[in-house]
Amino acid sequence: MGESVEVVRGTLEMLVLKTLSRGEALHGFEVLRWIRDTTEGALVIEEGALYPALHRMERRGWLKAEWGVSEKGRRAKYYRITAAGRAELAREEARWTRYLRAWEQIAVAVRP
Amino acid sequence: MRGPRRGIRRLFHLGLWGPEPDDGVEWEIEHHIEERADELEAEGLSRAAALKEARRQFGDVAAVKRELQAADRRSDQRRRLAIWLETTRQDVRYGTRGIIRNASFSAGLVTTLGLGIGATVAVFAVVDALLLRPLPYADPAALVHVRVQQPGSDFGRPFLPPDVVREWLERDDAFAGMLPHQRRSALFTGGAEPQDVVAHRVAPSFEEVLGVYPVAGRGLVAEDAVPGSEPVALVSEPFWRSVFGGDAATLGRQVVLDGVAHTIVGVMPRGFKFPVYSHTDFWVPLALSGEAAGGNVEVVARVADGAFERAAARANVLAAGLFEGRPRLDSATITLMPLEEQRGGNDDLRRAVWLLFGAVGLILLVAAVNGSNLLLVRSAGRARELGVRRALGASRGRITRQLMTETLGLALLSGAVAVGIAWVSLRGIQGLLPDSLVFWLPHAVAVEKRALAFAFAMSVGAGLFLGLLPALSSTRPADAASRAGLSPYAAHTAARSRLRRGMVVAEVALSVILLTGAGLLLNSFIRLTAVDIGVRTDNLALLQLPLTAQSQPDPALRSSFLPALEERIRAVPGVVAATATGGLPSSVLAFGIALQAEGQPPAGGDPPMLPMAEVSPDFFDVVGARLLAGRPFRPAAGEADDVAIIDEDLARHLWPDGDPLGRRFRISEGDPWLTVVGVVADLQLEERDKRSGDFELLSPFDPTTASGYVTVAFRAASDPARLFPAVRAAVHDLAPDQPIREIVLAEAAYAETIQIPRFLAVLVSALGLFAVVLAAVGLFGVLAYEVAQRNREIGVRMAIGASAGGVRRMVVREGLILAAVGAAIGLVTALALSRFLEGMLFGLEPTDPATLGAVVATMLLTAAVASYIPARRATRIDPAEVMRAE
Repeated sequence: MGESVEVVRGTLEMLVLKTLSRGEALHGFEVLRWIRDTTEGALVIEEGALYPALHRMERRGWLKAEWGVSEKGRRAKYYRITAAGRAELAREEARWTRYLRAWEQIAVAVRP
Repeated sequence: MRGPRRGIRRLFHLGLWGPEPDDGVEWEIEHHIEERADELEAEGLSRAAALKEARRQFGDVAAVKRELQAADRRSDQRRRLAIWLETTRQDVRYGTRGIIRNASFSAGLVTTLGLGIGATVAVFAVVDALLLRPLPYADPAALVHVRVQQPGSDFGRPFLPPDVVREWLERDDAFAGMLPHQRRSALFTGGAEPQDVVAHRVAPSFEEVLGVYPVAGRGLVAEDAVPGSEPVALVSEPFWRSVFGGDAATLGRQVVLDGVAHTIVGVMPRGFKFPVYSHTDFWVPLALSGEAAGGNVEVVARVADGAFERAAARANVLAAGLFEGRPRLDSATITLMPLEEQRGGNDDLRRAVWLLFGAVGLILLVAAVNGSNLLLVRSAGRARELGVRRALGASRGRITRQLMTETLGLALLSGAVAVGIAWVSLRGIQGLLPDSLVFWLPHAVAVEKRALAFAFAMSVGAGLFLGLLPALSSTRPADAASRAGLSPYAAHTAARSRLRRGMVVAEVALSVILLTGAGLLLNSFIRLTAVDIGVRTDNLALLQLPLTAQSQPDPALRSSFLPALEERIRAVPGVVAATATGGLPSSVLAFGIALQAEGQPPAGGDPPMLPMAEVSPDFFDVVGARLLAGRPFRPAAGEADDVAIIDEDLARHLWPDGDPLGRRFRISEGDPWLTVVGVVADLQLEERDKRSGDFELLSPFDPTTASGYVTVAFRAASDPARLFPAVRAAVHDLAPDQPIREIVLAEAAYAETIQIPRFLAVLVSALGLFAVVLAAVGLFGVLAYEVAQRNREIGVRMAIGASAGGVRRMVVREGLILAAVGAAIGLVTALALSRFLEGMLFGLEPTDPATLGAVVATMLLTAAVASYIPARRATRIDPAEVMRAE
């Protein structure tokens, strides 16, 4: 497990949407664990920020939540991405990609 | 909190998945912590340590939960509101459709309720202005009138000598403020024509005590009342508007009052009425000392902190010192009369107004009963529709809500109609308001804010009341299946029908109560107007003038003024005759404390009131009073001043069997003996109902020495009103500074005494008529509905040989039975309530059999007509048709 980095401001929602865009309904901890495990611990999302973000996105209609019972038999709130959520994700990804491309150009130009 | 909220959510189908938002957050976060703890446990920690560590890593669990819960609650509320708005929108649309689709039903309900509420609102506006709305002074409950009460007397008089008031002001510690004042009329010159105006003299404490300040200019200050200071005046808003055109430049202008120039320093607010007087043109400073002081003073005072008893006690201690040694005040006491208690005229009038409010309450009840009846019939009619909707899954709550919305919409529509009706009725009522009722009426009788709020509350109330009843019964679950069409007759249950009939009976009973009141008041009014007042009022007019030193400064001219005026008026083309009198209608009431005929002891019992008038020799000819015996007065120069002409009632009272001519009597001990020179046929100079005494007393009038208010009565060949301008001109030709107080038809002047009975009779009759119409409509509705429901039964009857007449009789009989039961109940109730009318009736008892009989007859006749239409409809049923429909 390498050194972990903070989530860049404004990208948390995109990360969550991307995670859920795989189609499966996940509860909050599963979202967090998936991002952590996939990035091999490089991206650690703060719990205190995750849940407000989930609820915010639910209110905006990007996510749909449903109560269910987890494999361990606990009641859990499962989030699923909606069509509006996918659209938002596409917009954010495009923006983010443009940003990265710009960064690359600057990085190349200033290469030592 | 949770229970009821859940219930509401269920009722309105709100957010039905998952827990309450607060619980959801709790569960979600705890779930996260447990999942994390599972991981930590797998790394080798004990469960307890793992949970602790998970919580630590999470950070401030409580803060996150709080934040989430707050945000979720907000959004939950928003969502709920959105859903509620959407449902309401649907309901309103559904309701509007329902209202339009059943246009005749809707119109019927709106008319019924609109009339009921409208009448109530109109009467409310009257009651509110007269009795309910706080007086328009600062903290009006603390204001009192100071009265002086003689020992053994029941009521105090409001007058105090000015020097007593001056001393009282100096040492006052009984009140939070004292406002001495004196009502005076004055001669206003300098306008288009001289006017007799009211220049109310008030202490400079005026505005502070009442808490009312001028809208323009300044108020009175203490210096204004100092003798020798420049005379100033405040002007009333109406006078300012009518005479000065509402011009702001009026301030600083001079007006001449009683020959003295006053500078106008301020304008009082519109509608301001000085307690307890009808109208005032000017307010001028009151001087309590020096030459200007004169005449008795009235005092309005403000009591601090509602301590009326303490203030009264303290005032009495002060008064005892001030009154000592003064004749007629020595043993008098002070009483404080709250201003609030002096509203709406006297007790009788207040009672009359409340009576009216009660009557209109009954109307509203009848209207509500009719409305609910209509709705019951309607809801039975739409039972199928609702049954189907229930069956399709609409919840009972949802249907109730939709029906409520529809009814509420109808009720609000009725409210709007009601406001229009109230507005129109108030225009009529305003003209009928008795002068004594509006004498001191600080508020306008109009549909204003409070009346509008009342109308709104009434319509919402009526909507809820009417909506709930049928809404609940049509959605009763047990009924739903049967409504859906399993049994077409299920809606016509016996209970339903009993309820409807009960309502009609109630309506009839209420109508009979109102009709009885109306009949009695109307009958009484007719008797009052039929009273022979002993004066022929047709084509007779009265010109009233104040004769004062100001209007007639030259004593020599003054003595010749009235005779000259009589001549001038007689010379006006169209005038047949004119006579000068000292006050007509009677301006003086003598209190016959010890009325006695010479040689006999004074009559016991209550001292009678004697309306008095001074009359000229030609009085009897001009006004048409019949002299039964003796002679008219001689011209003043040749007449003794201790002679009298009395009316036959007084003659009979003094000398029950004997000729009164030449005999003597006196009104009180110490008064001169008066010799009877004539007896006139029964006169009613004061009040037709003879309540204030039936003993009229005429004495000789000397036009050369007359002062104060005098009346010239003149008779015209036809409509005297056309001659008013010429008569006015005659007065001004003769004396340019002579104001005219009033010039009226005698008919109108004498009608003042019947204003209250007329007001009550007209209003209660209107309400009674209205109630009867409503009851008839109600009866008609129920019978028509029953006939429709019994279609089949009637068809069968006719098929097996019942005649059309028989069927008609059957239906009408049913209507009449309902009406008779209602009338009987109403009659018994009316008799029990009739004591409220005692004292308002003239010449008949509250149990007057003729009136009661007429009321019952009217009701039954109306019921018969209302029943006949559905009865005829019943006979048109074609038996074959009915059978085929089965």
